[in-house]
Amino acid sequence: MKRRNLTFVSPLESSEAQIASDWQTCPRNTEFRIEPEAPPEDWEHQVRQIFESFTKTLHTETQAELKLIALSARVKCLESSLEEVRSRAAVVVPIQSLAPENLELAKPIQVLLQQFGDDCVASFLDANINASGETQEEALTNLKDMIVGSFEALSGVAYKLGPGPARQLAILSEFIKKNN
Amino acid sequence: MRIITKELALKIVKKLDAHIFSRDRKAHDIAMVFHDGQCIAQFGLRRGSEKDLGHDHVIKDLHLNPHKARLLAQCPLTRDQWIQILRDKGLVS
Repeated sequence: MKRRNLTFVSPLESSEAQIASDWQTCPRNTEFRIEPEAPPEDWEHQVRQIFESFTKTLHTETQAELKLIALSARVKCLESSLEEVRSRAAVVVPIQSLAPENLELAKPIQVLLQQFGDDCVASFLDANINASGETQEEALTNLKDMIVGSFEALSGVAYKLGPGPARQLAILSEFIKKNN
Repeated sequence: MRIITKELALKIVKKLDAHIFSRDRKAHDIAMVFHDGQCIAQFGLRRGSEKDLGHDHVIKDLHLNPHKARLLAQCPLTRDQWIQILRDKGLVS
């Protein structure tokens, strides 16, 4: 049997060979040769001008960007301050009566309602009596209860009060009168 | 966020050795702190079983700032240090 002489040619090698043969058969056309232009005489000046203009633009843009960053930081800061002011916004409301307790008010008590985190704190500032509640209404109701409770508790130990509680009782006594 | 919860308020009661004046069917019990036989401060304890019931009013009642109130509840501020704060403010004779 006649032996066949086979050589393996990969597709890659085959295409390379094809390109090489095409290249050789391609007629050289020197008409389309592009000669490099001679640089202008003042090219250094032009390059410097372009560079300066680029630097100027970059500087202006960077400054504008920095200003924008500073402004947005300031706005963020102001927003958080405003939020804090809003959350701590205080309201003053009067308590006109201590009903349903058996005590009467000689004059209205001015109460400061202040947001304190999740809760509202109602304060009778003069007497430093305070109460918390989830809402302003709840805090106010709780403060009424605390005013009555403090008055009763302090009256019960009036003979042994320190300066702070003695002052609290004195102020409460100005505002509260017992019903007969 | 609450600074002083009921749980912390009860810790303060224990730490200051406060006397509780229970009031039937009322929203608060009254805690009174005595020193040298004198009542030097009092504050309300809200009724309710929730441990995180808000008691931020205690901060003002004890003449403290929020940070120091928290320290008082969580141990670093002692009873004596707190009494000294009141003394500095003229609230303890």
